[in-house]
Amino acid sequence: MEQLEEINLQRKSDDRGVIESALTLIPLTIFFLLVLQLAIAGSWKTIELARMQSLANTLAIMGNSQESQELLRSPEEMRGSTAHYSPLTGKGNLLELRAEPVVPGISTFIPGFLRIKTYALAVEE
Amino acid sequence: MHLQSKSSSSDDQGSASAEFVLLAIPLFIPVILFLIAINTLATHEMEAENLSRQSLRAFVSAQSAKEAEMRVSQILGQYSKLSGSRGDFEYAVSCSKSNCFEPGTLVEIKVRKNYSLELGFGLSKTMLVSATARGVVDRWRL
Repeated sequence: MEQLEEINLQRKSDDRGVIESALTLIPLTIFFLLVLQLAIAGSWKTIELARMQSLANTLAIMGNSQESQELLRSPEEMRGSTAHYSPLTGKGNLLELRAEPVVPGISTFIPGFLRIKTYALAVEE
Repeated sequence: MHLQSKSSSSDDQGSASAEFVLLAIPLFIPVILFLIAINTLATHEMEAENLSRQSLRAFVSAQSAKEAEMRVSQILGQYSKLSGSRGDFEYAVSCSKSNCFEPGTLVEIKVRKNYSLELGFGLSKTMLVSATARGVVDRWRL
């Protein structure tokens, strides 16, 4: 009996600090994940901006052709971005592309949690 | 004596992680702010680069100086409106010939903008982003 009590006491002393560790490590892990998500969001915005600028330039070079219309209708190429043409002073048009893509990561589990706004302009001569 | 030492060592259990958190978080926050600032700077640089290229295309395809100025202002104004950015873009044009619209003239357009880089804790720094684009007025323009 005495031996059992001693073992229990030993176990209790071994468990000391476990709750404190969990109390610090769990929020720290969440914090790290949120920071990681922020870093991904920043990089994702740069990637999306580059993609949008490239798409706007492609559309502007193509002009008002059948290929550009096909590109505008292609969901793989447009990826949710919308195009708007406005007349430019003199001749030509100003093409505006707008999109609000979802950042991968936590937003996969919470739809629409992290969205970034990206824009691109191109001159269609 | 031996018992006292054992007790103090068991009291310290779990404190290492607490110390780690206390040290890591204050060191980690400036890293996050730095990452965000670098990302913002990269985005602004890319925007300025694209705007200078588009402004140049608008400029060299204009028929007159007044029209060129209006076209460039329209592009820069539209982008400011789209991005909801504070402060306007500025631009400067230089040409290799006195008449910028003479076919074959080399045109250089420099787009610049001051923006406030938020460093957190109420600190901010004014940064200048600029981009230059060069192009030639079409020789066979209509």
